[in-house]
Amino acid sequence: MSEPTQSTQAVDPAQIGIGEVAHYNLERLYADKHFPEMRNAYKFAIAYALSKGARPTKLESSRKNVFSISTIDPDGLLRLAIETLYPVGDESPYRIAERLADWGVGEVTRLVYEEYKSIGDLLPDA
Amino acid sequence: MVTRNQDDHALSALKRAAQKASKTISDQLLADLYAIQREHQFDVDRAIVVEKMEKRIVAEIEAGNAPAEGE
Amino acid sequence: MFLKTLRIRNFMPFKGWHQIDFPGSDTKNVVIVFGDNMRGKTSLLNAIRWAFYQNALDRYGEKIPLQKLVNSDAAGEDEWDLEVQVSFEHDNKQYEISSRAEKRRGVGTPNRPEDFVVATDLQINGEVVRGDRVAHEINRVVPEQISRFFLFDGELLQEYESLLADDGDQGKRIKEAIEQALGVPTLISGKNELRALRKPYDRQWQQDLKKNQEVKSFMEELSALTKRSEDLEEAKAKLQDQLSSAKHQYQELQQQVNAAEARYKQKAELDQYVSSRTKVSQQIEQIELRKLESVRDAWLDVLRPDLERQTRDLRSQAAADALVLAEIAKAPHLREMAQSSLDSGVCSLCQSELSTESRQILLGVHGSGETAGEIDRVATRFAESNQLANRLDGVRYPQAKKRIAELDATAMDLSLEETRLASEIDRLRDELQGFDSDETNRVRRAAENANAAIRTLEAKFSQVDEELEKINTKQQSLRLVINQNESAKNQRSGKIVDLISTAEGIFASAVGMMRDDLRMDIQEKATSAFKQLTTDTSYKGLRINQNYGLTIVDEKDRDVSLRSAGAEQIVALSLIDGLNQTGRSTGPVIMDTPFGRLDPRHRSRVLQYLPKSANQVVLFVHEGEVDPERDLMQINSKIGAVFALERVSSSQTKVVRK
Repeated sequence: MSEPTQSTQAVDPAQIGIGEVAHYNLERLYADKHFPEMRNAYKFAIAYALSKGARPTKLESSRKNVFSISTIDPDGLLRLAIETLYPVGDESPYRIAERLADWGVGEVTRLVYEEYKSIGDLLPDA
Repeated sequence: MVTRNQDDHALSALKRAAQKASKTISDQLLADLYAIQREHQFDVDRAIVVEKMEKRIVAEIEAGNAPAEGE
Repeated sequence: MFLKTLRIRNFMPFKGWHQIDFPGSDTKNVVIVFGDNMRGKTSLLNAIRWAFYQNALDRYGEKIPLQKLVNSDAAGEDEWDLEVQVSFEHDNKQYEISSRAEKRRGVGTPNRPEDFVVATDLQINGEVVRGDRVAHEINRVVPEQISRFFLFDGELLQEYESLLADDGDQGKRIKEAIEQALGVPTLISGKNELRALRKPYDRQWQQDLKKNQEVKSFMEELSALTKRSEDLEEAKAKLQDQLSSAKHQYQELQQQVNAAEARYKQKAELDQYVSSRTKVSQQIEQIELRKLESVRDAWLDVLRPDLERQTRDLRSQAAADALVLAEIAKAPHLREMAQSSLDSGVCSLCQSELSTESRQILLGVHGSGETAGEIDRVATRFAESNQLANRLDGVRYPQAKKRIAELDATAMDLSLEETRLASEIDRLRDELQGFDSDETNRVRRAAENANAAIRTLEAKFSQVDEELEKINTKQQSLRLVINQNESAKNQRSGKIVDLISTAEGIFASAVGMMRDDLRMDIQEKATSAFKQLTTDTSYKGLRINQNYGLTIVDEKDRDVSLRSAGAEQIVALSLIDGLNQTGRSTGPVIMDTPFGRLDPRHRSRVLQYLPKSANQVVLFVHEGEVDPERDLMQINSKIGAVFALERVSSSQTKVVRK
């Protein structure tokens, strides 16, 4: 009896998005020079959410497109990370990424603007 | 500051200058005039100096030592 | 003359009483005083100068105002009096001079020299010298005009070196000082005073001869010349006044120019700091950019612990799977045998029926009931685990946190530097407040104009002098002619005039002769000193010019024009020595940092020569100039005493005998 392997392909979206409140905060983080580009902030938020074991089930606000997949994950590392650290199931990792990013941006925004952390502060020690 | 060394220089210069002059006057007179200057070289009040020199010169004349025609 | 003791109180860095004793021996006639720069060596020189002449000079040769001479700590305690005492011997007489300054009554905090009362006492052989005679007595032994030659500040060597330029202002001043030292002015004043003396007698004689018809026309001409001469003398006196005030004005302007130059330097410093600060600011900006850049892939760093843990788990799983697969790979035939036994129910080896226990054992050999499917699954899992672990191992983590920490450290240093520069900039801006470079240029031009005015006046002065000489000569010849006349000759007044003018002429030409004699004398003595001081054997000697400047001459009698700073110093020292020997009988030589630019060999020569050139030598040196071990060893036998100026605080030094 063969079990379904993870190679059951869910269909990847062409665009990846985020909730519009998180999008606003993403722009804010970028404008305040916490990240060189918005995409770096986006991925950071995802990574942060993953590291905290978050399992968000939905976006906090209404969705809007932000990046194309090829822009956000040219080397496939994002996908690799999500597949490695998250129970992907039969969803596209990128759909999961959107919820993680949405959650992550909310957290990072709070830490940066209310607790005055720098991005460096949020990194684990070497 | 005039020291003995300088006196030698000055007197020797005076002697040589005297030899070149068209009229002769006594070495002693020159030495005496020089001595007056030397003694009062730092005095601010020069009137005394001029007076002393005058006295010496007049004395020379009264002694009959008018300048003679030179060589 | 030789010094015996120097005692100072509250003078510059010396708070309270300090004393230096100079040894009295002929053979041990060298005193060394060690002190770092800014410790007070020049202050000691100034103390001696102040005791004798009640003035102290700064590095520009300008007088230091009295309120600045008082030790600052003493002043802080409202103790505003200072004193310097020198005892010395000269011509077998004991001299004790004591100069004091005290705050004038009714003055709160003195801020100008007039706020002090200055008094100088002198005793010779225990007898008090009358106040008005003190300066005279001191100048007989240590004339102020030549004090620069025996109270010798090594920093001022440049002055002597500028003597080479015939036209320099400095050179002229030094020349006057030298001639003063050498007694030339005595002859000059003799000439001038004889001329002054002649005038009344001239008038008298002219009066007397008015009745003599034979010589009447000559007398009239003589009268006219005398009148003209008197007018010119008056003009000359006026010019002299104008010249004095022009010189004074020039000096003041020149002081402003000097101050302005110092400000220009500060301005340049300020500009430098501002430019540095801009650079540092830019560097800080750069660092911010680099910090931002470090964060680009920081998302990976966030996941690192988890990904690495995952990798470890994958590797463990793979390792476990590998063990299983290895086991399985080890015994395929056993498994086959067990399989066929289980399938047939009979042991393949012994053909007996399988019991339940046997069946269990065979299942164990087979390997926990794994089927081919199971094996495939394990094999696949093994492969996939490794593959994923390899991919994860390939992830490059930016280590952003470490980078950021390093950049922060650099930024911190730069920030400190920026702060330091900012405070220097503020300081300089404060000090330069009111510095107007236009104003400065104006002052500089005014100084140049004043200088030009001086030159014009001096030229006019010369012209007047020339005309007076011409008149004088004409008067001489007229007198000669007049004196041919018998009755004229026998006039007493005429005889006096004749005598005075002859003496006047002799003094006049003696001046020129003495100058030449002295120049030759100095040249000879300076050359002799030079030969002992220089290490260059191709130098034949020194040649002297009209301004008492010296040129080195090589063996072909050619002027050596380009000299090293060390050579300049040796020449200057030779000149000083030549002057000292020509200008006075005996006396101490007190030198402050004479060795600044000399290499060790020259230094050694100077050290060996000095004790021979004066009856007493006091050297103020700093350890960088003279190596106590090496250099002083050579003159060890001549050293009578060694003192050190030791730092008590930034505003106080004490004298310690070693």
